[in-house]
Amino acid sequence: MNKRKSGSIVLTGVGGQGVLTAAEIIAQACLLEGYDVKKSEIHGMAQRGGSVVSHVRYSGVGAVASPLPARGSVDLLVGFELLEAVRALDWLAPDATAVVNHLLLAPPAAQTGQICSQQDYLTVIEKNVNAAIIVNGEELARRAGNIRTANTVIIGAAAPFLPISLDNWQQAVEVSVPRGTGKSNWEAFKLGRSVAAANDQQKDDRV
Amino acid sequence: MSSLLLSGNESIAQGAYEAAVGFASGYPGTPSSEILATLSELTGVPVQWAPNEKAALEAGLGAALAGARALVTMKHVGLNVAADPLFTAAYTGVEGGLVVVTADDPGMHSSQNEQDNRHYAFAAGIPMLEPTDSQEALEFTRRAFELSEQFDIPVLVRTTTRLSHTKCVVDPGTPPQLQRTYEPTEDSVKYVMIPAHARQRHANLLERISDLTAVSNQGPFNRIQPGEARLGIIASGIGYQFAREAVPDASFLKIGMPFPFPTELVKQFANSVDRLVVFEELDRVIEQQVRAAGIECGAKPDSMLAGELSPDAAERVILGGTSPPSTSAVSVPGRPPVMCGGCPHRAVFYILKKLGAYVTGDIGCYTLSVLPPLEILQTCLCMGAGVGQAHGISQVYTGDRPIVAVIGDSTFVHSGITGLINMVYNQSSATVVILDNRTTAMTGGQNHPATGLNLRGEPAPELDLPGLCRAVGADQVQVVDPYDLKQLEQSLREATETDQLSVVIARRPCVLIADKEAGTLELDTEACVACGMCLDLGCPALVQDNNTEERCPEIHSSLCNACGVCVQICPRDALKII
Repeated sequence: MNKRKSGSIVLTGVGGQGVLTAAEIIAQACLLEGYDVKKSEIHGMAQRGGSVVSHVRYSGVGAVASPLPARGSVDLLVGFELLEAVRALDWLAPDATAVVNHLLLAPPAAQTGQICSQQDYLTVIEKNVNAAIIVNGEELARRAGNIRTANTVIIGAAAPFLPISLDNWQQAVEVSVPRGTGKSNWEAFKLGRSVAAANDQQKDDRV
Repeated sequence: MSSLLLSGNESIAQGAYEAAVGFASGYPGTPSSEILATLSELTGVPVQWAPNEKAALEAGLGAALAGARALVTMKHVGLNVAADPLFTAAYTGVEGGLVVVTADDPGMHSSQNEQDNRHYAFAAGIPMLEPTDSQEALEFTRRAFELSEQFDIPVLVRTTTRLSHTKCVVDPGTPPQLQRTYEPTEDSVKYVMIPAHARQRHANLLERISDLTAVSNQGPFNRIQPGEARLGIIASGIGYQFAREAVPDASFLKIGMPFPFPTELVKQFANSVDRLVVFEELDRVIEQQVRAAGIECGAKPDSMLAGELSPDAAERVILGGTSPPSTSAVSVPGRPPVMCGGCPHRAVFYILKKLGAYVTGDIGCYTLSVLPPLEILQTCLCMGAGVGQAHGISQVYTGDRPIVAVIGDSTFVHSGITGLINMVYNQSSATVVILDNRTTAMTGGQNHPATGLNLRGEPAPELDLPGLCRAVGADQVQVVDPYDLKQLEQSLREATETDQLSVVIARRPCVLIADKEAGTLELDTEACVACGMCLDLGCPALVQDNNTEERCPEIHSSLCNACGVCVQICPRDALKII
């Protein structure tokens, strides 16, 4: 597994999915791990069910200057929705990893018939990244006991691709999620992480 | 204190706190809104939402006149509203330090324009500080108060969306333990701007600007960071960080104080490098100053006068080259923001469309009614403009179409009321609909004078909107529940059919602050004839999937708020709240 000492992450999803909280968890975990970190996001109109994008950049080898990565330089995509994940592919470096939620939320434009199927979007994602981990966030969140923790499941699934200790992940989850939901979110995180790790192991076995 | 991850806005609040700010006021506006909320958690001093930016700045000037350090926050277009007191406050100066934060929105993520407010500093003669990250946002805000007191002048701190909403690692400090007592200053020559006094104060302002120019040239806000001599970059704000990323080894002149402009420092820097490039967002403010000093420089193309800069833009401008090709293999439909499921505004637009109204709009979530399928809004210009526009139209238009202005409750208090007074006074025949969702929704749900709560969420006197409208002389004022479609239609019909001024207040709390309605929306697919009438509402909770043969709408339960408006529209009673 490729673990770098600096990197760029793009998180994408739909307003209301908890994209910004997820980005907060990653950024807090980076801070606890001792990295310099910058997290950029857009509030306001974007929250009304529109596309939401957040960028996290971290470095253990000098300061992070720009909060935004260059196009084509991001090494980890964390997608909370398939269509938004496809929209973010431009950000990725050729050797990037994508951790994507198996969920398609049809935008209102679906009424104009532009939309493709879940499978089409999955194929595009898998074709454009080095490794794609597809996770059923909602299903795992339900299994963790709190349907609202799907975003934390996805972060858990992305965790193996980031050089951050489990202790720091746990602390980051606890400080970033709403009060009283720390336990269920941590369960969700661990479930996501184990699924991704198993997924990755399977691929290694095939090689 | 250990390091924290703070946004630019949180850092500005922290900086004001560390400067022992004694009073703060503002009006919410993306991307500035979080500053005051954060500050209210740090300090017990008065931190207040004002009805608009002008009222906020005037209150800040009053607090400063009494010797307190005052912070006033707003978005870029808010400074247009506050510009009247701002320009003359440069003449009067201050007693306690006064810092005005203008949060600009390059790229217009949530704004109607992307004006570059650095021009205000030049136009008003007010020093401006411009941080490049959260740590600087904290330090520059703290120092802005000192600068304001030292040079007897308000200080502008300019941030942008990328700074305000980017979190960085910050080392916060602690505020000094000082107990100040405040006393209003008596100095009429300085504060009563009759022409004889103002002439003296203008000359005095020019002297203060001259003194501040020395600060600008000496630092610490404008600073040369030596690197390789072959390339020198002059950059400011977030553009500095993008350039730093693109050419980390170059020499930099970081402009943290664009006004007064550090011409001497620029000359010194230009002499030390082989090639000079200016990299700045929006207008050519720095570039023009550099060229005015007779210095040649490279700069961005005209295409980059609009929109945000980026790391890619920095590479293109500084190193040349082209933008990377798009790798997306499939076309991805857009996902514009929409009014939430259960948004109380939706039914108003549905009925206005039915009535064939010409609708002038305003600033708020309801601008989203311009998008399909409602597509009803004809204007969105600035805070309060829709009311004035509706009046103007009604004065010249002689046709039958109802002329209706829609405006939110917070926006109405901000600057709709003056437009309504104009309508009463000049006997308008148009209709004003106040979309009273009991909050300032678009910016994140801030309180305002008509919510009955103050910034801290404590009870406050509630501005009575129907009473206010009647008090200024609007005789026909109705209050309706926009979830009650029948009553809403009747009220809007009456209001638009009369040839006199009418006001309809559609009152229902925003779904983001209200408790969810009881029940669950269900569709009886046996009864549904797929007529599509419910889809005309444009509710995100009702979607038709074109990929399937199924023509009945699908209910997205997670987005549905069980408002019941679609239930009232369905001609077959196929939709029910169970």
